[in-house]
Amino acid sequence: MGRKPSDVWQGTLALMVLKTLDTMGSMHGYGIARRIEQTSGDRLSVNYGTLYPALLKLEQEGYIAGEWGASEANRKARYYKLTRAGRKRLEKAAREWDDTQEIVARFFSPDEAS
Amino acid sequence: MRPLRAWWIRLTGLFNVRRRTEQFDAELQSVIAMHVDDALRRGVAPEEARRQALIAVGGVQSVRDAYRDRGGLPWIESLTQDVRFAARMLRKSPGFTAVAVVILALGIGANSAIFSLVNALLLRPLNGGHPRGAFVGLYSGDRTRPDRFREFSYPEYVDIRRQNDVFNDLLAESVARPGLTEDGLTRRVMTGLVSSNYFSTLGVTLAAGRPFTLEEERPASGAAVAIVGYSYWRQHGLTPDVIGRSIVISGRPFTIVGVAPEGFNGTMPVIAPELFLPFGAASLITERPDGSNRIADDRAALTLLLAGTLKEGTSIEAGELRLAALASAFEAAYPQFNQNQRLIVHPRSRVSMGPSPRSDTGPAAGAVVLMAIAGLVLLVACLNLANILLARGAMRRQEIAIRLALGGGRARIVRQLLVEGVLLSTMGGAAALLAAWWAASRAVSSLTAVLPMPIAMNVSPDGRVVSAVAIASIGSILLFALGPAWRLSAPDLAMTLKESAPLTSRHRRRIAVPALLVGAQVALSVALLISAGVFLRASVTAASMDPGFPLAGGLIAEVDPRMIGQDDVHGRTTYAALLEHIRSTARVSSASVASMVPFGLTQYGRQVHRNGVSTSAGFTVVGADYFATLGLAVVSGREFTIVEENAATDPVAIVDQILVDRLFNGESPLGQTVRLTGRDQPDELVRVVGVVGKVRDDVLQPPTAHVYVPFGSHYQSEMTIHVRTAPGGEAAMLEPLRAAIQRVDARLPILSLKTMSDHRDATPSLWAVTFTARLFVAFGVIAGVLATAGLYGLRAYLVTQRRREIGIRIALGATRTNVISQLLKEGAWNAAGGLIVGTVLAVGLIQVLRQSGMLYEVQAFDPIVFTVAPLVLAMAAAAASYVPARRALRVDPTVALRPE
Repeated sequence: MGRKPSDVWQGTLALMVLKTLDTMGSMHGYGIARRIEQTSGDRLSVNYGTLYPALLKLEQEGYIAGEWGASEANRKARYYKLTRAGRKRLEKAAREWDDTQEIVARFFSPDEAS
Repeated sequence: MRPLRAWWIRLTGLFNVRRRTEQFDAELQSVIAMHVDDALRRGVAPEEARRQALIAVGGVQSVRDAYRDRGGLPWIESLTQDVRFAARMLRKSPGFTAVAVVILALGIGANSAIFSLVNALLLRPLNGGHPRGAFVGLYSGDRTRPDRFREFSYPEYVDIRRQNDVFNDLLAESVARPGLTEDGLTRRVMTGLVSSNYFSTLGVTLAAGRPFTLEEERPASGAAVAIVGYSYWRQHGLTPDVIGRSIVISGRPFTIVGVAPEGFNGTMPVIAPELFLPFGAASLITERPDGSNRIADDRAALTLLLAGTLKEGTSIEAGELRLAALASAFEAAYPQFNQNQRLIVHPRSRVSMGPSPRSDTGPAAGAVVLMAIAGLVLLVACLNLANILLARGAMRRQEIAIRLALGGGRARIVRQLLVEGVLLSTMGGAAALLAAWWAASRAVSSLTAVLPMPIAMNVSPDGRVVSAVAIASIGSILLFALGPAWRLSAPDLAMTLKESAPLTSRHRRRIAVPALLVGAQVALSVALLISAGVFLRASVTAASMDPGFPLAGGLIAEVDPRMIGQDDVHGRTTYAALLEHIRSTARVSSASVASMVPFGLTQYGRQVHRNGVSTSAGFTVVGADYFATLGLAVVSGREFTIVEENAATDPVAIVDQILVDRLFNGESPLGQTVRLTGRDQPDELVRVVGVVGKVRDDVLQPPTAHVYVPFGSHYQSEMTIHVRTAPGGEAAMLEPLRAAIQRVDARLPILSLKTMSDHRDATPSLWAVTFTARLFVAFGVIAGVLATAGLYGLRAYLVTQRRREIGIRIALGATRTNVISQLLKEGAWNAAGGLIVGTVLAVGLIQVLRQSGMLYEVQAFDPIVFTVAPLVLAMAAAAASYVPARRALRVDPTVALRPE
């Protein structure tokens, strides 16, 4: 892969965080960042200066809840998990994303061009 | 909802910054630790693992900042910083802060004081009531004479109340001033004579007791019941047993049946009734001497004013249309009283009460003019403060330049300076609110001293006044702070960093704005000072106006035997005894009685007819020797005699020269007969037995025509005793006069006792002129002082800037006189333009003010005023330029030239 990992852009980051927490259950900031990078096949790099404000924003909006806990290596870390509102938000966002994708895809599909 | 929730959490986040920061630091540390753990697992050396972790995390501080910004509300945080910084800056220069706050307090205070008065007069809800629907007056007007209106009779009121489908409620009222006796002292009290539904129509619940009944409302019922005002109840300890207590009104016992609620002023504008009586009690108390306010079950007794609340959905026009049918029914049934009378619905005036519908456009226009003038004062204050801020900004240039150089945004600096302005104007506004309250209360109490009745003007600050002050404060911030903030934050001032005091600054351009501001201040204050001068002249002229008789040596005492229940026969005896006693008192050269006193509040008139020509004239009932006592010359004929004073004789009259000029074409009026007519009055044929000189009844009006008739044939209980003594001895005569009256009958209330000069000085129209003059002088002086201070500030600043130039000129051999005259000349230029513009402005302003009618017999272009006012300001300006110039010269040239 000759390509340099690009920074995640703002709006989508929140969605990725929600999806990650949906898949992984409860997770700390480091884990969320790693997971997003891995899922993207290392094509995205997560900047903590972007991630943490995004986490805080989601927390303030009540989509996720944070709680102190112990990591696998027995380190103290703050674990985030989806709230019910967050799950609803994710479902809605996923539907919207599907719609958007489908519409945009139609514009680029060869059948449509003819 | 979600954004709101987030916003709230961020707002509360402002208050636990430290705890949040610590928590986040811990979280960040755990992230770094996990990075290190990972790297160690991959077999990286510990040192290297830590280095890589830190790189991965990025700048710890910038992550922390980003997190903190999201955690709180950054703009509020920086605003708090600005406020703290501004407060520190202001505390650091207490002198400047004090001056700025005082300037603003004066400027805003002048506005809010005027506004408090306007608010009390025109805007504030009249009473604590909540009428159901729009409260309007009902008027009866002559269809053929659009300017003719009349009051209603009681039967007419009852008919309209019963038969209309326009009003929810319709009340009727009249006014009386009976005597109220408490602790042996009797005084007149403003009293509302009201219908039984008066309080319910106004939506007012009594504080105690009950309203009047329909039976008590019936005119002939003789119901001796009263509802007292709240202030009466408070004076008597707010005890519940006030209901049922007895109270002596006009010499008769009345029973208190109710107490009006606190703050209730009735429907009367400005004047507050202290007592309410039902129509049934009207015949028991003092009526007007000519019986013109009698309330009776008689269609000829037209004495009631009507007002009510319109039914929901009924407009004034629709209401009038529906009342037209009622009016024509009355016209058909009672042609004698209701011919051509139509019913008119009109909003009630806030400032006058009478039978004709009136709008408040006149007072409103006056209010606008006064507010505009107060606005000028605020404008001067703001211009002044703007100048001070600019000059101060010059000292802060270095600070601002450093901030700009360090990357501070211009918006942030403007905001910082504006926040300082906000702090200043908040303090100024608060001070202004208190000052205005004080000033407006003073104004009202000075009016109360003039009027013999309580004034219901609540000038305490309410929501409207506070908003007005807030608007004035915000407006003044825009005026005084925004401009300087914008100029001072201009990036080109970064130059300042390099040089401290430019030797040959481009000061012409740089001071153009401040110089213009000072010029404008001078112009406005000259205009205000000249107007003040014109009003002062007017008040002096009014006070020195010849009333037609000498004031010195004259005394008056007002009595009314009906107030202690004496009927006409008894009253005549009392007056005869009084006059006999007073005339024999030592140092009394003559004494008499009169129904009307020049400059008095009440005036009665008659039409005087002769050979088909008629004119209106003041109608005064007088005793023997009245003209000698007043000091009015008898031109021909004679005074009334003691016989004419004591009993009805041949109908005779004395007229004044104005009447003679109008009716007699150079013939001698003596022995001629004239006819006197008046509304509700029987016609009288009287023989003229004397002619007297002219008398002025109002200090602001030319003398008017008068006809005098003798006391014996026109007895009335409400008279004023006139006494003449040696000029200068009148003040010492007050107590002997009181003693003489009391010796005749100790119960007789002395309603007023004063010298003629004091009486003249307490005339409401003279008060109005004097008050306006004082107001303008206050405004003018405030503006003048501000303008002078502004000029001083500008000159001082400019001279300081040019210390080096002055130093060089002195070093090169310029004499001190040279330098000073040069500097003074510049100062003169600053002021001269303002003086000229201001004088022109004053001419226009005075033209507007003349419309008020208060500038009686005053020239628009008074040469003395137009010379003195600009001269005073010119001298102040000269002093303001001279002092800084002197100070600059005191500096040693070598010191001034040494680079800093």
